Amino acid sequence: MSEYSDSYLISRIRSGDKVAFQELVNRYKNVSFSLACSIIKDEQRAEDVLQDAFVKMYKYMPTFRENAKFATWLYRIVVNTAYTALEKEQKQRLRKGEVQGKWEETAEEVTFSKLRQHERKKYIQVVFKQMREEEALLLRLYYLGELSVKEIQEVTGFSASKIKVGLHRARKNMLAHLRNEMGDELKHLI
Amino acid sequence: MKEESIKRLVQESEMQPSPDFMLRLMISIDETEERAVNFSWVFYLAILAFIAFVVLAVFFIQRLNHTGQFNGVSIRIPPIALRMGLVLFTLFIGHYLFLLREKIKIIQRWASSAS
Repeated sequence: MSEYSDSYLISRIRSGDKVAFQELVNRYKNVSFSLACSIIKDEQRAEDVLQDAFVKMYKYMPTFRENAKFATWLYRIVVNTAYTALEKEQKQRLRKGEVQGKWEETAEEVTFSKLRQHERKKYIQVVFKQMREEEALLLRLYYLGELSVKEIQEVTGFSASKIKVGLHRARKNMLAHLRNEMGDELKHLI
Repeated sequence: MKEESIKRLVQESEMQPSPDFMLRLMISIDETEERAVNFSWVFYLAILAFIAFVVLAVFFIQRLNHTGQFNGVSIRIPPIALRMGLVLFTLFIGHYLFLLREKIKIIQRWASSAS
């Protein structure tokens, strides 16, 4: 079923085909999960967010307009669900008297020394955990989701200039993080 | 650094949910469907409200025609204008009722076929 277009799968889902739903989820789950991880730095919680987002997608499928791009619509659901979960989490932390959710906290949990040198994928994922959620999200939407600036605007609600500046800053920060942690090894990576 | 290298680096940051993710998702979907509610009553309620409104409007217009005045002000509406007004009003509301029925049908079809 992997050769079918998104719109065909959507019409199948609308007539109750769960196999089509699974196919569509398989097609988008990795990018969507990466987006959720950009905002929610904990993988387990990001998975819960992703599950909520896909349930919402299934529930609101009848309201999806055929002329819209499915990926943009889905990523908007994922990003909104993740930000709502993050907000809820931060409120709970504040109530408990903890410091407001900082990405540094989770980033500290993972140390580069634990990783072996050849695990480049892990290196990069760790760097993404250390980056600010907004920057990680923009990079992944642009390079992983392959969305245009206009589509990222639709997903995030940010202005075009904010996205462009954010992307520029994110690229610089990603490289700075990589250079910090890997030093000369970065040359082999790129 | 070239744009391509950054793209490749970001693409390597792609993550995968755990293998049992799909199973948990499908269980969650099944639970959602069980909670699905039949709400065709919204449409019937709208029709009832519309009929009640039309009956009241017709009654009011007939009374107006009979007395020829409203709150002491003399009113004379040509019968043809009244009929035209009623037809246009019915078409206008009917159009919205039709749209409402279509929306409900889509959601009902989806909910019933999914369960």
